[in-house]
Amino acid sequence: MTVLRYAIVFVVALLSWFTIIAPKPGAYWEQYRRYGSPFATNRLPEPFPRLFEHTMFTGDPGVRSIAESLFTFRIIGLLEDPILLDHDRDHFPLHRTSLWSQLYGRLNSIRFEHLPSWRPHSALVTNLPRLTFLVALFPMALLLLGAWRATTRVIADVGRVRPHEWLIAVSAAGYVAFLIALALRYRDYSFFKPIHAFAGLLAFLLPFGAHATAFTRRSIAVRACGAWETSCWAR
Amino acid sequence: MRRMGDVLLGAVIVLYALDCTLLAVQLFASCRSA
Repeated sequence: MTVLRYAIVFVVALLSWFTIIAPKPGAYWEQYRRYGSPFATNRLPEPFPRLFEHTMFTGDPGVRSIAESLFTFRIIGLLEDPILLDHDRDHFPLHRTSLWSQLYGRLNSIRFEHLPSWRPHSALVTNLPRLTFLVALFPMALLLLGAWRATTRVIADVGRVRPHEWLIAVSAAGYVAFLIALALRYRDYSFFKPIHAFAGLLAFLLPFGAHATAFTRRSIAVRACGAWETSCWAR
Repeated sequence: MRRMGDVLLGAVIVLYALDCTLLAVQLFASCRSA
């Protein structure tokens, strides 16, 4: 099947799904009927942030500036404050204003965000996420290196990229763009959640698996991931 | 190097499991005291 046919089938299937099936069970039609937009949330969009200058908005910080939010990764801050508490507007851990730090924290610890009444009192519960944040840098590096390798491969020779690889690349890039767009549009830190990209999880698993396979072949989990990735590549 | 990678990935999985277990313990404790 040519790339063009793949593209046509993909676009037709996508549009059919999102125009015929998704609006009703996904409540988009009900949202549109009630609020005039299928994508309305319980929050109003905030003014767009500046690149470097910190600007105010009604929600909790959040995106104070684009540079601070998108170009920082505050691992030291995560180690200092491994539990995200809902502090007031003026006193909060600095990693709350960094999109990638928040995604990393929420992704790697089930205790990262919780209600104040669920605040852990045990030192073990507080120190466990600290250790997890340190050790999880390794799989995160595998994911980033795998994504980097895939990106350079696409740039080096676009013609050799297979159709299903395009789907994976577009899915991963699309979900990353969605996380960024959501953060810049609503700015409140409560919108910095990896679950928003959960539907695209497989697209992130593949570059991770590819690089993990190259790094180590003896781990059962990695081998299973790598075998699946190889079978996808071979098709 | 490979062994180190296996150890780190294994450690992440064990830490995730511990994290969830501690949350479950707190959940059961709060249910019992309610």
